[in-house]
Amino acid sequence: MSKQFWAFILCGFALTLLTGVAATAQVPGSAFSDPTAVLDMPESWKNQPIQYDPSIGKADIVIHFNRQVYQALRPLVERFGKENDLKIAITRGTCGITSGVLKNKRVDIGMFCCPPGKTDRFPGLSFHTVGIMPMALLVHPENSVDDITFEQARQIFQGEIYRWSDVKDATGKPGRNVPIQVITRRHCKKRPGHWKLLLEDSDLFSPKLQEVGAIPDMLHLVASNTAAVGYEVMQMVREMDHKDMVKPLKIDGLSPTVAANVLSAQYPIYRTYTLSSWEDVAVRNPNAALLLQYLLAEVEHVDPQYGIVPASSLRDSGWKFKGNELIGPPD
Amino acid sequence: MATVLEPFRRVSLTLRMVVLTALVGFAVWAVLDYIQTRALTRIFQSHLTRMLSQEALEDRLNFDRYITAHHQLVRILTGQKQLSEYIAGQNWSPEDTVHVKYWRKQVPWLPRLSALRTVTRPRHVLLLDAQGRAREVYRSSDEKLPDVLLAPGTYLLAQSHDQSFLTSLDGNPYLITAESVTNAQGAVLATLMLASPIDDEFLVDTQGIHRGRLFALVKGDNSKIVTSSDLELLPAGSLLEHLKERYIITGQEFYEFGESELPIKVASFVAIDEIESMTDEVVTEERRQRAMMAFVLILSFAGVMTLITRRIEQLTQRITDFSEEVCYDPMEAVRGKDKLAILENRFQCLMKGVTHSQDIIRSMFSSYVSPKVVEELLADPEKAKLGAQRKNVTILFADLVGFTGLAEKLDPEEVVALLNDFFKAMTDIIFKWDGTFDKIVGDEIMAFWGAPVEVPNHAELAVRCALHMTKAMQELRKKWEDAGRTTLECGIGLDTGEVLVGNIGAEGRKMDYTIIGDPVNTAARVERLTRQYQANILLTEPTFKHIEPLVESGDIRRVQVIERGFVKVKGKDNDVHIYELREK
Repeated sequence: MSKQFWAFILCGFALTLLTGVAATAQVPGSAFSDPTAVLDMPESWKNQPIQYDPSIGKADIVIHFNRQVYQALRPLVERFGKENDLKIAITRGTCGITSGVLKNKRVDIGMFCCPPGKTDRFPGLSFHTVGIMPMALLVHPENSVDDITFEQARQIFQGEIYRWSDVKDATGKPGRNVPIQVITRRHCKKRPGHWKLLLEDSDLFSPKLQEVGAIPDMLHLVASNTAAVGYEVMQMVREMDHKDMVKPLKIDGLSPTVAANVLSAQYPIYRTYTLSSWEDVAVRNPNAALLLQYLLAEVEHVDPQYGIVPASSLRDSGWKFKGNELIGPPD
Repeated sequence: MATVLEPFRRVSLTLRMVVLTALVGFAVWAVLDYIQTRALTRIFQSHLTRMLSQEALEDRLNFDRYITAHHQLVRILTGQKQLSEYIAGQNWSPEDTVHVKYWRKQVPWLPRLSALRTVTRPRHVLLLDAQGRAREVYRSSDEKLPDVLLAPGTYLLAQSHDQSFLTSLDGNPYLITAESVTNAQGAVLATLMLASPIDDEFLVDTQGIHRGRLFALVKGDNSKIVTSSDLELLPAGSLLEHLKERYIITGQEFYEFGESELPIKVASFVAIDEIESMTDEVVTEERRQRAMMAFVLILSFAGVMTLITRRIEQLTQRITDFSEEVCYDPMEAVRGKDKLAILENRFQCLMKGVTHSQDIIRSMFSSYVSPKVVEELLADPEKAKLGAQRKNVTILFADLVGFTGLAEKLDPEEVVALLNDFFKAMTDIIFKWDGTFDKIVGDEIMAFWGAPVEVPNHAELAVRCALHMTKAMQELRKKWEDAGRTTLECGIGLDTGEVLVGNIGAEGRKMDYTIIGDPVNTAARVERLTRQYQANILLTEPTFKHIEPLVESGDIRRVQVIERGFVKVKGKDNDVHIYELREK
């Protein structure tokens, strides 16, 4: 055989491999957005001061928390307020609400359950990652399947695997011969991470799935249907008293309840909790800046039961940061 | 207490039992009704609340689907050739001064409105040019479109693209969703935007055919209603705190599909009145059935009690009559009062009577029969029918041979001592063999077996008694010899046959339990023959026939029966066939 022939074969093999890798890499979405991007907003908006919602009343700081970490971080905020004799108003809600109150300049600090999206990057706003939290694939406790591969997980949510009997349980036996009931909550469509780590595009999801708009509905549907599969962080499962009513699946043998699995970036699906603060002098609240630093420093002492893998641990494990914002997993 | 109950005691037992049954029945029913109604209400309300919560979940899922449908619809519409062709024909320019064109009926850039409404019911459909300015607007009603939507700006366009976006416009919650219309090269020609105010009409539409359940958006801090599916019942601005008195509020959750910057939660309201009304309906029906069942049970039980108490009353009356007849006990103290007290009194009277009767039987028979037989008679008085009756018995006569001549020669004291020894020994033996001691006449003793207690082996017992007597006589003779007294022989005669048995004598003067009949005379005569035949024991043929199998089988051991032929017995026409019983 000539050298040209072997070179041709080798090139062909390399091309095939690269194409395959590229094709696979297309399925899970990006975990982070461009940290340098800034949303174009009118000058009038830029000059607008922070104005708290009248219903809040008088406050030194207003902070809007994401509900998943509300219980974990609220004690820290209250302690800071007590130690510094500050009245701090805490509201809670979803990322969309956070984006809304930031757009309307109603709060000093906002929080997202995802890395910020392009539409969250308002001028004068900076982002600080608190930590990440593994997102569990949840099934009914009676489901014999305990462990699936990441590829199987993606195929299930795409509708390519549509019966539990096509998935093997822990003993190697196939699951029950029933159709898989996929339940999703495709929130934060404009933000990277979270469910997009499973399937990047909303259109990749199975058309037969059941969409829900609220976390309790997701948990309720999984808990009441032995063939269902959904997802949520375990903290919400505990907080909403569904611990014994749903079962987290392992992915490639890795449990979402073990922090080390996500810290090592081996567990593939997680939420990123991000705080925002105003950096423009015109809207900057010095007390809020102190509170932000306090939260970032103290989060590593939060009770591990909340499942937060703190930013400090992520830095130590080689996760990439730009300033305080997490921008990529370890190499 | 006794005084209070006195009038009640005068009421008949049946009526008292019926009243008591009814009272107890109603009391038990009342207590059970209270407990069961509470338990049922709790269980039913718990199930109902769970069921309504499930329905509330369905409401929220319908809400989710309706909002998703807006986004799906805009994506479908932007792919319509009809729309692309219309936009291509407009020649919109960035320099144009925009005059918005409003449509209410058929819109040239949309499918038929009837087809449009099959998916969802957008209130406004805006067609924006490439610069994001609204050119044409379809309005389903005359309601005003927020001005901001006519030129939504970069942020609103970005947020509403590729998702359903819930935001606040002019202070009202709005759903906006948009998609770009592009040419073959991917250049944006226009944007199609659906916008609907989230108001009562919108909420009703999310539920399809409205099922009457209330559905609302509430502020994120759970303080006020933002809008609801029935603004008359749940007006916007109502405080939730006040509504909790009238409604069970479920599913207060942040809505988070696509994007929502509204701090609102989706909640379902179920009127407490409605739950209570449904609960009341079930509980009332249950109580009605329970009351009917209790009534039927009380009635049945009262009926059964009536039957039982009537039987008791009849029994009481019979016992009373009987006891009055036999007890001679005055009833004045209890007459006309409590029937149970009467029954108790009569029972006590009868018990005295029974005890007295037993004492009479005991005293009557203890001189005739052994204590064992007396107890047997008391245990089963049927065995001792005291009236005259015919019975088959075996009679035994025993006397001292030659006593009459000897008595004339001896001192009276010695005669008495000798007779007492003899009678004492013989009577003991008769009782030992369960015989009935009848009488002593001179030196002669008479006993019989088969009455008052009927025994099938009366002849065997009499014969064994005779043999025992013979043996006892040997010991008695030895005792007399040792005492230097004169010794005598004992002659014993037995016969078996039917006699008349009963208490015979002068009533009130002297009555004896005795037997009368030919076998009595025969036994006495046969006993006299013992002297003639130099025998201790002589039997008649009827007695022999009873014991013959026992002798032959060896059950009566060491005896010899010798036939002594037929003899003429005084007072009998036919000769009597006799046998001598001798010990070997």
